[in-house]
Amino acid sequence: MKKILTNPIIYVAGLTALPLYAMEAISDREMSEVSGQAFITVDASSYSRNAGDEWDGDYEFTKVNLGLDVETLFTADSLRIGEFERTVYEDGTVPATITIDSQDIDDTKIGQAYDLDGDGQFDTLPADIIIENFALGRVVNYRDASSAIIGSSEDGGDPFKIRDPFIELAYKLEGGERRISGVRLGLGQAKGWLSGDLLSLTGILQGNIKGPVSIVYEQPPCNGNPIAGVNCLLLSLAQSTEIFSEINLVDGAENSEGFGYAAGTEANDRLAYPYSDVPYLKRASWAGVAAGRNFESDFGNLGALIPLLTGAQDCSILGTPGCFSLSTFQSIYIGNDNDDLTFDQTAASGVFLSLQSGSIPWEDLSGLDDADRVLTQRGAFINIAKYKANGAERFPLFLDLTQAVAGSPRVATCVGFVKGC
Amino acid sequence: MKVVNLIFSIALSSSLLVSPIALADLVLMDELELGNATGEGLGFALEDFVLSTDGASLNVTGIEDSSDNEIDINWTNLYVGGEVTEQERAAGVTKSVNVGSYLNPWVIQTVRGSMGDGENTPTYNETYSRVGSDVALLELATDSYSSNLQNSVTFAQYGYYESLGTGDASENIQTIMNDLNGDVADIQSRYNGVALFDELQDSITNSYFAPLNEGGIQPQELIVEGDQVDYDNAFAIEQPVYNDMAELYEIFEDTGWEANNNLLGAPRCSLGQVCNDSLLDNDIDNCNAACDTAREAYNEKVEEWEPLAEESFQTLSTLTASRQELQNRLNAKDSSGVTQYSYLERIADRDKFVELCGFGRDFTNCQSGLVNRKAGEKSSIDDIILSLNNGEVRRKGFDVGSTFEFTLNTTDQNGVVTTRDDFLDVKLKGLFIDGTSFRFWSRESDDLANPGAELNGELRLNLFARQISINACGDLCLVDPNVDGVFDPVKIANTTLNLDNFLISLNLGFGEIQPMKFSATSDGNFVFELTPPNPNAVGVDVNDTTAMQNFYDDYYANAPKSFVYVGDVNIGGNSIGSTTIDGFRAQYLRVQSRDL
Repeated sequence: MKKILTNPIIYVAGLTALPLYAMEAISDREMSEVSGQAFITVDASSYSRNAGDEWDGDYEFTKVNLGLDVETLFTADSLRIGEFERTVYEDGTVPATITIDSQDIDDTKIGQAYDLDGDGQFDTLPADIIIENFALGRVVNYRDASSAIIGSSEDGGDPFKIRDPFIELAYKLEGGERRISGVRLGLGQAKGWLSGDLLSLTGILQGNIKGPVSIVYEQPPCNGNPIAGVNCLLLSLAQSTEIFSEINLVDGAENSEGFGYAAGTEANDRLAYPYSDVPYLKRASWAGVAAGRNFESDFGNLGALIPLLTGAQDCSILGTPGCFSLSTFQSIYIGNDNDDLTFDQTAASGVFLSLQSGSIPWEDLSGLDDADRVLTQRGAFINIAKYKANGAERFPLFLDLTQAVAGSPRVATCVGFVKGC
Repeated sequence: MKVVNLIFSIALSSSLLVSPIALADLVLMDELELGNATGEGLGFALEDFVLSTDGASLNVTGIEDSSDNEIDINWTNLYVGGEVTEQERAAGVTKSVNVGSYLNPWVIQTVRGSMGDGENTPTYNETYSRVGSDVALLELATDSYSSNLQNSVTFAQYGYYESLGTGDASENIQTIMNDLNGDVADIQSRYNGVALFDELQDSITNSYFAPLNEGGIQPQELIVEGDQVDYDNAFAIEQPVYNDMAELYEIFEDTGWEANNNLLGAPRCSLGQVCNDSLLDNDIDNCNAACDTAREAYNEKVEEWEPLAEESFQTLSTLTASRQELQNRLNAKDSSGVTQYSYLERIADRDKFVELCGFGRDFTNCQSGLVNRKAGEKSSIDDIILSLNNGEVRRKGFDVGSTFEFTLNTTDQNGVVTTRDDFLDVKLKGLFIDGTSFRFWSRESDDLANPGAELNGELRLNLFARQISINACGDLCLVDPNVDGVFDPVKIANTTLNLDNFLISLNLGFGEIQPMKFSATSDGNFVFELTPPNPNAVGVDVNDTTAMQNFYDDYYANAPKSFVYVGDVNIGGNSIGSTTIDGFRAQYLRVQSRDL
């Protein structure tokens, strides 16, 4: 949109305080120096698919791009998106688990699925996305009100930064009709802290968890003893080597048939489980190393050994807990927290939140080399997935094994308090 | 835009003339009455208002796609009128609407700020108490209502809670309040006889800042930070050497093949071994010489790598141990006293209590915070239920409809560009914007780079619509493709996106403590800013930690939050449920446009 006239704003400023500031006419020359900028563009696209799955069909998209640089410290008491009935295990819906905060439920059964309404099926969380004490950005020096900083990074603050947000509508063409089938709010690029009590997530959350081999070595069967087996000897020699694995949303309910599994078929196929044919889990409250996934290492010989030793099953890796409740881990740094690099080099791309009434294949804007479509289904969806920045593939969430189990303090989003303001 | 059928009568009155003449028609004011009006402001109402462009259209230009192609936008219809029922709508009935009323007019006025005035001074007005009394502010405000049934925000909340759970709105919000009260009781019982709120707060500070040898968390965090830097540095040195070494090993293994490439099944160089002695002497010599050279290069790299690996391994061990120690400290518990709860648990309890009960800093005082806000909402809901039971009815709102046609380039997945005609029909049914106001005032800029006057403002925007319907089917939903403008109602119903009971209550700015600011950059981009809470605006000593904490507590307790409720989102009867963003606020927001 060209020619945004900036001067009327100044006129109004004058009008509101006539006694102090009288307006002055500006000359033609001054006027000619006023330039406008195109900060809204609209792009249309179409997509046809014939892969023999539920996303087959013809789609049209209209994307409104907003040329904006946004910095904020934003808080919300709660977000509840997509609050409607779902049936457990259907479309990848996971059972809700007992948490410390669960009302009227036996606390000794924390981590187990429950059936409060007695219909013979485990209950699910009430909405696709439930985040309490949601926040973007953080307060620096929150403990001391006289040195706390809320504002921009130039002033020493740590706001959440967004560049070029967009709104996109998806239309499905079917039976000679064209229906609006989805809407998404996307962030062209984003960087900063996202915090909240993540009670229910539907979508894709990808992270990387790492730690030294010693954590695995100290657990059964080795128990820190090199002669407990040949693998234990090898582990003992490489105790300080760092190993890593991808983490995803998983079913963390101990008494659920999908316990420890993530969505899709990436995990091995030894066991039948309810989530093999869905692109993502619905209403998940746990994340971790999915059953069937292995740890890896950057180092050659050990790299070959590690996958054999560290295959995850039942939310554990050789006895080490491999899953954790999202409520114990309340802050995610979106992008790369590296002050030496520019915004473009460190910001995450492809982050979005969408609502759709049916199956919609959204364009994948993560910048990854194999990026194609993000396949979504009826309900709400949040995408905090792998992306490419500064030429490298990156995860939005980094954990180390020591943190994941015990949790770590949330970044502060209030002055004087961590959260709750 | 050509506007036809513009039917309205306009009546102006001073906002001071609010003698309650029940439901009377407006009458002209005589010269004497007008002469008595003092001009502080202007209240106005538009009676029997209908706006319809009736076939006239407007071309919007200047919007482009990302490839700089102009998009042809045709705004083909705009209708603003009175709310009608679905049956009336189907029958083509239109109604007029009153924009404000004599008793509840829309207002344009200038008002003096009240900050600094005593609460008992005649000029004090709570509404403007966060704007200095040395400036005048300009206010544009829509109609407002003290009745909870007529107030669209409270009515929308009533509708939202009505749609939740199994009971009526009052019972449903009571269930939520019971949960909140249960959480409060849990925290109270944990600290009853153990610690007062201030003691809990002190224990958190003490645990954090304690010396390293007394379990302090901050000193351990610093150790982890230092150990992380050490490991990152060691790893950054080690990794390229490891990669070179791995490459030399590959070369070493391949060298045997190269040295014996005329022999089928020739051996590879291998670690710790010489070339196979079944080879001809000459080949063995060649092979060994080549292998030796490659082995030497590899061995040298191993020698270079080993101390680096040791260093890297040592730093990682140290880092792992210090991280583990930090976790231990965060989760450490004593057998009794306030520290029977870990540092993380105490922080969680403190913050939860503040969230629920506000900033009273007293476990026995739960007079503000979320519990109090929900109690206020319940009281409004009970009031509305009582009003409805007494047969009171809510006034009718606006119906607003608008249609757009776009012609734009579309790109398919193979990059082929064609032209597409888009159609958008947006209807807001039962729309209300009461309680909305814009307030503006001017202040000298404190930005030395941009001296002069600066526009400050505050926005209270309430928008409630019984239903927002959006349809993009266009010509595909015509009864007959050859007959324009006659749509198949079944197809329209199948393809329409409906947002039921849509409320947005957007509150931006908190007087001079956090004003909205508007400005422009020299290259023509606009800047919108909600500054961080400014203690200087209320004369707080920024070096006084207690006074500053009180300042932030006051901001958190009183700066209004915003809400979005959508009772139901559905398409063709396929529901994807309700959506709520409850109690949101920007402590800081800066938006600057940029050229795409």
